Amino acid sequence: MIKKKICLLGSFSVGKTSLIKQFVHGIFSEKYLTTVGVKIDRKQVETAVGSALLLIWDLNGADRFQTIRSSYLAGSSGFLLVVDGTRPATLEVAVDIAENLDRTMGPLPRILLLNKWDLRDEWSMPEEQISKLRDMGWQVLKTSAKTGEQVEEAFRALTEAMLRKEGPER
Amino acid sequence: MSRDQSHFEELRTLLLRPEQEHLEDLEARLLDPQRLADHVSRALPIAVRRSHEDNTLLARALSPLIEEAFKKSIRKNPKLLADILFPVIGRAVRKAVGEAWQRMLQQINEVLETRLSPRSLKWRWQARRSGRPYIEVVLANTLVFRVEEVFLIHRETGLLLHHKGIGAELTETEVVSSMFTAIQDFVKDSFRVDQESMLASLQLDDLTVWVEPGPYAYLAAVIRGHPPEALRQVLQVNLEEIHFGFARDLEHFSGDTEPFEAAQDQLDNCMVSQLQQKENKNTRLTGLAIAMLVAALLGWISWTRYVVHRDLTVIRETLQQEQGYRLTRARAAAGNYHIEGLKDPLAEPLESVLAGASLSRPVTADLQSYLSLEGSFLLSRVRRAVNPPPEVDLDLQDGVLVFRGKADVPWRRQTEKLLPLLPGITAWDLSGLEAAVDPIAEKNKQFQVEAAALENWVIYFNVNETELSDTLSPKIQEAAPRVQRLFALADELDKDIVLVVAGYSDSMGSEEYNLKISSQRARSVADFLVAEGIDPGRMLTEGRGSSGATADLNPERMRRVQLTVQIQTKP
Repeated sequence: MIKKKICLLGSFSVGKTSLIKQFVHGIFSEKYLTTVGVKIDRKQVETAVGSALLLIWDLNGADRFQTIRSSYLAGSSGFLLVVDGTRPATLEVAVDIAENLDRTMGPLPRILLLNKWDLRDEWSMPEEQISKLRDMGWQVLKTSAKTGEQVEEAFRALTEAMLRKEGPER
Repeated sequence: MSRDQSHFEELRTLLLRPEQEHLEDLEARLLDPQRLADHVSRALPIAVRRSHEDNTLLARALSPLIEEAFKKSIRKNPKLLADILFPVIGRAVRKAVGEAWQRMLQQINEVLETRLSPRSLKWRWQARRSGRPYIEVVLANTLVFRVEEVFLIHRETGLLLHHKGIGAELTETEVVSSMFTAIQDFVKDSFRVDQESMLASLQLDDLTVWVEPGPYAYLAAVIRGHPPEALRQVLQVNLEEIHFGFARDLEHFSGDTEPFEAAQDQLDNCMVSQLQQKENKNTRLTGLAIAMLVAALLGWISWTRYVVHRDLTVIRETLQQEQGYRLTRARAAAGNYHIEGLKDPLAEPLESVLAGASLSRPVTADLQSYLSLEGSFLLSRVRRAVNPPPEVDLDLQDGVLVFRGKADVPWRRQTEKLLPLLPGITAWDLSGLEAAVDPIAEKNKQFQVEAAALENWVIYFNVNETELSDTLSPKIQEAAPRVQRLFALADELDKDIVLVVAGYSDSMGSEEYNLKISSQRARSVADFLVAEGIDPGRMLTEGRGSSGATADLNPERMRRVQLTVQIQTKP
């Protein structure tokens, strides 16, 4: 069985926990987020290239990479960077985190999730920057934790990316 | 010449070509470091071995070099060395700790050896039977635990490599494993401990989580109860085995947990449990029986002690009150009581003195004789010595021996002589004694009177008269009862008497005739007395002729019969 540790990262109130709630039904209460700073859930994900058991570490919101507990990141195979589509500042945080991840942990699969797609009216994402990121090879998905839109796809895409990455090695 | 030369050159080339090529090759080998290295690498192992065989020069030359290289390597990546040494150091440390532990057990052993309880006796017996140290048995009996879950967790990712649990499998073991790792990290971060160290144990009421860390993976054992320190060793050994057997898989772990299915055995080894044997009904009954037995024994001992104490008290008090005994020691011996002391010969026998005491054991005695000066003993000793007549009363009044009653004179005289010789008698009073009449003396007197009266009795006969005429009969009648009385008295006094009936005659006839007539007269009287009932065997008849005649006696008084009483001495 293939198991993968992934982390959900992003600013405060971008909807990380809601995304997971939409995706899995966990056993731990959310109070861990505020006490220990992390809540972990698992989900078996099937993809075209195989299946994997994801251990999803939902880290407490952070506006700067430095405030993230590095020990929680250790051993991760992929990341979901979550952004609140209605707040452009959260995109900057996500990009900052991604850069730091690349520097400290090397290139690992990651997907940028522009969350709260259900609030399309209030949408406030700088499209220019998004397409620039896409050009740089970033995979970007518009998700809605509320309606579940693209949520499963996001997890599946990350899983696939992780499995593909290690594919040649196996 | 030039042609020659060139020819020569050509020839030389032809001739020496192989050599030339060989030389060039050698030169190339020496000058090209790559090729030289290839060459030397083949010879080096042999050369090193030779050098090592011949002397230690090479080793000495190389050692500083290797040392330096080693130091550099460690400085560069200390973790590498730690990871390499992990299985080795683990064993070494375990051995040292094991020895220290053994020593400590020994010490505890010695302390525990001195304590005693029914349970400890049982354990001691178990230890003796199994040849294990006593302390080990104690620990085994007291420590109760069960490893309920074992998690083999990848250290870096927190991913669960393998899991083993009792009963229903936890569905969320994966999450638990990760969360546990997260909490480990959280604790480490919070308390700023070394990143290599780990939270060794968590305690939640009855549940304990023990973490055994390794370089790539760690074991977390969920234990119910109180695990013994030895369990750590079990975890350690098995974690080391996993590191040894799965070194590559651990090092290059990328999420595939399949290889770790094979770690099943090691995890199984960790599923240790130690259940305390519940005391079943049987042992409880046995315990009860033993308790009752002990209680009974104690009861019996104290009852026996009580009885002995009571009996000895009775013996002491009885003999204290009994006159003629002086007790110096009384004790309980095996199966009996033994007393020592003094006893007056006149005292009551010990058996009868103690007869009423109803003692639980027989009494043996070692008693010396002594004379008691107590009143009753003085009196009985005096009585034994003087043998008083029944009419005499003896009494002690203020130390004075007082006699009262009737006693005859000879006894009184005898007593007066004896009294000063008796121990304990200092004063006496005989004034209360009246002189008593002696019945024998009285009878003797009577006998004397009767005998004298009989001897004064005389009967006179006429001339030539031998038969008792009617005139004589009143006189003879009067003799018979007197003789009867005298004989009766003689019998009472135990005197053997003979009544001599003597006949006399006057002096006128011849002597021969006189003897004849006198004996006839005695015979007549004797016959008459026999006729009256007197025993003829006690009479003696004698004819004494005229022998009793005197000058002044007239013939009428000479013809007579007289009686004499002769007392025979007994043979």
